[in-house]
Amino acid sequence: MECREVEHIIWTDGPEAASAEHLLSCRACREESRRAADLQAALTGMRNRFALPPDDLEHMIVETISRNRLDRARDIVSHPKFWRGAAVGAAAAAGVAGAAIGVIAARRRVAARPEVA
Amino acid sequence: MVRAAQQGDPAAMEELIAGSYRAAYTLALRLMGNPDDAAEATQEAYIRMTRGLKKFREVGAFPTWLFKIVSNVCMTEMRRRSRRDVPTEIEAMEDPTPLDAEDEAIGRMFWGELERSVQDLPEVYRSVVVLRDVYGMSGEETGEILGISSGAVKVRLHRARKRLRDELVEHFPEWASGDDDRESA
Repeated sequence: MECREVEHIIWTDGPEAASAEHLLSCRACREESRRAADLQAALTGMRNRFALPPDDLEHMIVETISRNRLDRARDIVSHPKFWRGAAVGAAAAAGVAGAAIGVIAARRRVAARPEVA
Repeated sequence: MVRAAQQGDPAAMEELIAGSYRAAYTLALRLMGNPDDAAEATQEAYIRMTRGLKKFREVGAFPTWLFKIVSNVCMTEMRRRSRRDVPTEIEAMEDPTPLDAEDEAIGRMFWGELERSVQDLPEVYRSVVVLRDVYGMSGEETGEILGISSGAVKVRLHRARKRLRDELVEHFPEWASGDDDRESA
């Protein structure tokens, strides 16, 4: 295997993917592999290093989320579909209530009627 | 905490934000390079996170999921603005491990240089390195976020890593020792 090929593998697929046999016999590629491993470790280490965010960012996130929830609730309430649904729901509820009142009144009338012998 | 936040517990949500917003902001800053843009993108990412939280099932993978949301927000915004190669504004990074004075000085120099080198990469290379190498996303995930194939991710990654290598060799020549005696095997 040529050094160029090994070097390509080292920097594309990572040093662990390079031919161990070649690395044993080639000092330059071994060094290149070490540098790639060092760089990989350093880049991974960057994940644990944090930038200093603006002082109020945390507060702004919490506020943005609550504001967004309120806005969404307002959007839902102000949408015509919501009111159409509400009107249908109210009409259905009124219908059910009317029917229930009718049934109760009918039962009372039946109960109040004197029995015929 | 994630489960409690999913069930609508506001205290758990605030705790979730407190524990993750610095990492989310740092990723946004690394991708966008500008503190104001990064702060804006972080807020937008949290809005999307709260919208998707109820359906989120892999509770243990919350940081990875959040990072994907942040990356998507940043890349969408950058594509929208067609901004390329924004100026480097990452200066203050906190070291998580306490070191002695000499190690600290060397460490600060190294990390500062590495951070600068990453920021100096052209955006097409920087985003791949940040997502793939720094945040450990797979080639497929990186390609999905950037809207490119896994093959293109590999090509960009190869070029980006070699550019970083050249930068670091230039600034830390001792790191480059044994660079010149190539041989074919």
